[in-house]
Amino acid sequence: MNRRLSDFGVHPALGYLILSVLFVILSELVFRRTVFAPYLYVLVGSAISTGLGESKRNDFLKLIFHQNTYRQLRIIENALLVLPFSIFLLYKGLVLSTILLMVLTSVLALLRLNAPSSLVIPTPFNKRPFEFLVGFRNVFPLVLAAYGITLVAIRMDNFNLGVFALGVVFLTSCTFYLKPENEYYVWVFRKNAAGFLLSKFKTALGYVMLLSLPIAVALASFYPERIPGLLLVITIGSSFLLSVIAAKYASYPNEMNVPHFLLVAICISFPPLMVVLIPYFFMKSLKRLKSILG
Amino acid sequence: MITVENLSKSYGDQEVLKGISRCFDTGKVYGIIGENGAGKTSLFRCIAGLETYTGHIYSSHTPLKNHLGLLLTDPFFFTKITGQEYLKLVCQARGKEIKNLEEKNIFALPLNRYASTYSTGMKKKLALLGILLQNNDYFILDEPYNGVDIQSNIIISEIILKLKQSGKTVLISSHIFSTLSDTCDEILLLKEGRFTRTVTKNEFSLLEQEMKNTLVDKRIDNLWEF
Repeated sequence: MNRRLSDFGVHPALGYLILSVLFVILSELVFRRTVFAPYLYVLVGSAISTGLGESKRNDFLKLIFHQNTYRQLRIIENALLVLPFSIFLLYKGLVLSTILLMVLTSVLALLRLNAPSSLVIPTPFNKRPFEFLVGFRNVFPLVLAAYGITLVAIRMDNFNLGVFALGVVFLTSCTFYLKPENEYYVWVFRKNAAGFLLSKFKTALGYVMLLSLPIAVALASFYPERIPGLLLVITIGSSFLLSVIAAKYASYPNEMNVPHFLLVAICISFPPLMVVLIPYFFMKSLKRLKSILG
Repeated sequence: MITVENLSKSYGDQEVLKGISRCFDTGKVYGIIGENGAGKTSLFRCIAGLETYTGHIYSSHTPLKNHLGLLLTDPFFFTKITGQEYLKLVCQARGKEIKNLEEKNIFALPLNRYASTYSTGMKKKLALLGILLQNNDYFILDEPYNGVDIQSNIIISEIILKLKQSGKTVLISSHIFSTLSDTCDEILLLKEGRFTRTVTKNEFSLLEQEMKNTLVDKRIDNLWEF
């Protein structure tokens, strides 16, 4: 993290200060906007902590540390990574959510994630194999959980909970596009930069619709009077996905930089910003991709 | 045909390719040899358009990258994509559709398994099959024999000869001299960023002997100098 901030030209101390302030502002906005914010924080915090569970990294740590030291190290690593989320939840007086987050991240610290598996999970994304195909296989329990939440929402007659499940599907789909792929998988395309980006947009929109369809149809069937609101959520979710894709390639082949990440994060609280942001990132992406795709 | 004119490439202060000029003809197979760090992979990446460079690269089919099958030394595969899905992805990227995949699976790969669970040799074979199915006009094969079993080595050599017969231009790098002498029309020695020598088929054995004398024997002897 220190190196990334230094590479970005920001002194690490100043970087941490800016990030902390922005985190608090964004968190306040999220907590004011939705009652499901504590669940979202437990979910996002847990998801972030899985980033350190990559199998090759953990194999290396296991090789150089004693088993007990390795376990302690991984639990501490995960606890430190989700510390901002824990502190904010505590600040809001949400002790149970904080404990849940700590327990989940500790359990995740001891699991070997992304380990080579021979079980091929079937997906409906074979026609255009890549982000959704790989992403779905990595997070399919989360998608199934979102479908489960929708059933609970309908049973409890809680439309907002259903919308939360829909949000989970859209946010999960966005994570499929966070990491830049190996350059070969861009280079290999017989498309110019604009064609490449538009095809990514088209595939993402089609597949996110497919993934969110069960929730959308279920909610629309039980709450027909809320269809306009539901369509608005789907439009915002889809636009957010497009923002993430455009932002990803705006920094390609590097990972999404801090300012771009923050701009995308602000869109969660202020969706109209995407009207400006998507074309802005799109133009930046074209410049980045032209060196590879021509 | 691919023509390279005055190609130079630097990483910071280090110039790895120093004004290379060379024409690679249609229907010919070229072996590029050189020690580790001589600039082979950099040359291949420049031709593929994966690196910025100074100089010019021309080809009869343009843009070159859209007609080029690039086999990297260490092909990358996503963790949860099967062999079949990988092939579909790389062919789709070139606007090609795969028909009768089972018949075309010449290396008998377990295509329904995740590619990331394949052995090094199987990964190499899958990547090679991918660029063959793309039906390219040019091929760059960076260490195609690395980690591949002896049966597949024979198949790869046969494939290269078949590509030559079909009028494709093929550039190969390999550390196994015999694989190059079996398939190449010319071997080019890349040393310190320059082609220092070009050898035609009738001189291959001479080149191998020279390399043995000047490099291998001398270095091995150094091991026992106390």
